[in-house]
Amino acid sequence: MALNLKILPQSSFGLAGYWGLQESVTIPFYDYESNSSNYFGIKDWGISLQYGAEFSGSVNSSLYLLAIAKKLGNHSLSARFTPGYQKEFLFATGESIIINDTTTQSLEANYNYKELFGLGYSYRFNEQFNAGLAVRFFSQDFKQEIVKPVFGDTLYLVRETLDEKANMWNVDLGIDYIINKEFQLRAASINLFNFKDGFINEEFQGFEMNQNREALLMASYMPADFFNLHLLYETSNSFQVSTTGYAKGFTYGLTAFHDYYQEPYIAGVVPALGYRTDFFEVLLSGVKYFSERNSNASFSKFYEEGINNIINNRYSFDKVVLSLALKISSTPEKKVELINVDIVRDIYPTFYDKYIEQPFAYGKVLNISDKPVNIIPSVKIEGVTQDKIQSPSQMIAPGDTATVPFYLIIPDKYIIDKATLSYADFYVTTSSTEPDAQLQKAALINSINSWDGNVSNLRYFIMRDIDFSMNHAKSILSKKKSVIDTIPSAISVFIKSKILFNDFVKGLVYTSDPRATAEYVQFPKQTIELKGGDCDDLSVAYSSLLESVGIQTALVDYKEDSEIRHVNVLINTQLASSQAEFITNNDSKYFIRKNEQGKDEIWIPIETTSLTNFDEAWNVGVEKFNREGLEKLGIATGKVDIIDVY
Amino acid sequence: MKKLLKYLIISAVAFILFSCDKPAPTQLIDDTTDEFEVELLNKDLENPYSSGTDTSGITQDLTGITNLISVSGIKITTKNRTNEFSLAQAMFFDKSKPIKYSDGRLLAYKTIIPGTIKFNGTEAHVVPYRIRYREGGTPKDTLIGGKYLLYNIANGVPDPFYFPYDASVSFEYVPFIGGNNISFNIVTPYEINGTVSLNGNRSNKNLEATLSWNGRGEKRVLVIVCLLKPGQMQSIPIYKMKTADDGEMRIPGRYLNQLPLDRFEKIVFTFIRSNEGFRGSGNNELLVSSQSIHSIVIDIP
Repeated sequence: MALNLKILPQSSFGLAGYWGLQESVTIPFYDYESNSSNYFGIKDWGISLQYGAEFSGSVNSSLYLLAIAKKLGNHSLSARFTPGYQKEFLFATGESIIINDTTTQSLEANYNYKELFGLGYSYRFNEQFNAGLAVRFFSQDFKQEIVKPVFGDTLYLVRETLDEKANMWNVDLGIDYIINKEFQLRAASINLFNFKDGFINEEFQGFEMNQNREALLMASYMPADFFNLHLLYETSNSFQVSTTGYAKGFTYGLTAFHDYYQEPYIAGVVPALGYRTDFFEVLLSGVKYFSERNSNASFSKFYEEGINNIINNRYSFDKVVLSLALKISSTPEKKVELINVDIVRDIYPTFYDKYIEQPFAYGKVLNISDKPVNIIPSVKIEGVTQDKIQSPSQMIAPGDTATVPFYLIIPDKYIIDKATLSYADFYVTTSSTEPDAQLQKAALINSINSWDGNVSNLRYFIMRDIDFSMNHAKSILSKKKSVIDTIPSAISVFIKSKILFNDFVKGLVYTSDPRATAEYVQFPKQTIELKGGDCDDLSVAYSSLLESVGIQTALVDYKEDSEIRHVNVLINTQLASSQAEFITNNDSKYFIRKNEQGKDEIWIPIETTSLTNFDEAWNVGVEKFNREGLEKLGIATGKVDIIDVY
Repeated sequence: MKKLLKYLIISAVAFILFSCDKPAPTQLIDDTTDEFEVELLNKDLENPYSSGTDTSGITQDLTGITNLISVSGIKITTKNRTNEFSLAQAMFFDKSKPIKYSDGRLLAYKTIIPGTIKFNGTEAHVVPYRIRYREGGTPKDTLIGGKYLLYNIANGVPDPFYFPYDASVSFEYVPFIGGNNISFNIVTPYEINGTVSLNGNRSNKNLEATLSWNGRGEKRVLVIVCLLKPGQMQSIPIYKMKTADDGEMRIPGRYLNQLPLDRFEKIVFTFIRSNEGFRGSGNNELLVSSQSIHSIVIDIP
């Protein structure tokens, strides 16, 4: 027999009918036949099985499919085992042998076509495009009894069984194009690549699976959850039309199929009814053929026409199929989307706790679920923070968009010499540790000497080197121990301030900031070691020395000219107003501020850029303070601001 | 609840896995004509024997036959030359005189010559009827009596009996002692003309034979495959194959390539289209057979 049977592996027929792109309609059944792009809408793991019964006069139950899928970002992987995807034919070979001159024995054959397993991969390029491939493994097991002459001393006819297996790999590609929520298009190949074994035995040649290259074109129109319409066309001139839908957890599907190789024109229907939750789906479907099916069939028709599909052919029987699918996910369903993030403040590492009070960025978060969601924003900056820094949680109503602040803590040991462009990863988390949404933005990280020009932020420079300042101040004061021990305690603060200033200014020179970095502030140690600085640096250093030994200071911000700002230091002498004469008889050289208990205290301004001595610096400071702050009403108008270091 | 769900799932999966059958198979009923039945005719190719196969196409087991009348139109094609013969014969067995093997098995019956017989008006000769058989590994032959015979090799020589195809041959029987004369017509089959395509060669063991003939689509034809040793005239029948009279049959290569072809020079394919029928009953039962036979002799490549 020289045959060329059209026994083709699967094309588009699925035992649950056609459901379109499965993410939008139902959870996956890994139906490679109509889903060559292989995309499925799970977040983590998915397991599904199809178990059913076939009615051929008797009832045969089969596990049709067992599949597992895993999603890794935009990559989707799946594997399926299909023990029930097989079709077996039993027939007499047409050859018979006469044994012992009288008895005729017919020889029989058993041909079994199987799809054993498949592997799938898909990549989601963006919201609109998925592409993927499916690799499937087929096996053809042929057993046939033959009569074989055996010649030794005499000639015998021996009845034996030929047994041969031929395997085949089949690779198909597919692509999905999601135009919008209502329209989807899909295209896939059928039998694009085949790699197969040939048959050794001549008896089986011509009975092997054939591979016609075809294509699948699919379109879905989905105006509402409860009504979707799908059309699937194969270039072999077969098609499927289906309607599917979902409402209140229930799913339905009805597929009618025209198979070019089967009669009548609409060869059958696949109705399906199911129920699903976020975690599982159960679907009961059936395959009803409109032509009569019989467990006995004509060999000549099989010989002439073959079959076109292993599980859907003119020899297939009506079926009932139960499909189960589980979503096993360590990643819960996404409830919110992070639409955008706006970084509102540059990052100055020295202001280590400033961003706890003042958010450095704001994000717009949309609740896409149908329930109120408590979100936790967090941020991590590459190279700056080791862990995510969480911001306070916030409740967002269903469908609402909220502006969410992102706070930050910079480690106090963090050092950076030059400004660097880094990346801030913003996260929004709901119920689990895995974020629902994240967004990355570029962020400029300034150097630790960078300053934003806000005098109130100079306190970070004052306090950062406080240990150095304390050691340095104590060293200076210890040299004047004999003086300090003999003075009245009331003027102790004043004398210590004077001793520290006079020692501090020895050898110091006024130097401007580096030209390229106008807002550059030295730490006290740098100023003392470099023996110079501008008004910011000198005020920071002197204030730090005083604060380190418990002398309260404030900074005076002279903002009279936007181009040239100035800073000097106010010292709390801790003298009461009645004690002013202990340090001066000139009541214009000090001014009174109330402390926290409401008592008056004498404060004196010191111009730290007057690198002569304490008295001179006091005089210069007083002169400037009186002129800018009082005579020009700077304090009243806000052009002169007094900022307590603590 | 979670535990219960887990157990339920495990139980369901176990139930499904262990309760599975295979999907229902389909039994294909052979309604094609591309079928054949094969019978081995000779086990010992060095010392062939047969209980009834000869060029007349008589291949039946004679133990089951009471009486036999056979007419044949025979053609033998060797290379491009075809010789035609006609043959008529009759044999009547005496069921009370069985001939047995030494172990008691029935081999045949003695024949009798009960009267005169004419085919198409020509009286048949009575000739000795000898059969060959094997016993205990030793080939033997025995004379079982006489039989009636007419044959025409060419132009009515030696007998003026001409086998007509798709027509009839008249038969007349006149008993020697008492009884009624018997006469009837034997319907003859349509002439069979075969061709053989023998490809491959014996050394590569890839011989394949495709047989074609003028198929009539009715009944079946027999194909006898015989081998012929160098220098010998009598072929050794190997296989008897019965197939539909559809005009074509491919003999699977294994039937030829497993034979010890290096000992043989020629292979003979004999096509036989026959009509057979029984007349009478009991001891008067008569198998009437007419056949068109075409043997094609081919050098084994």
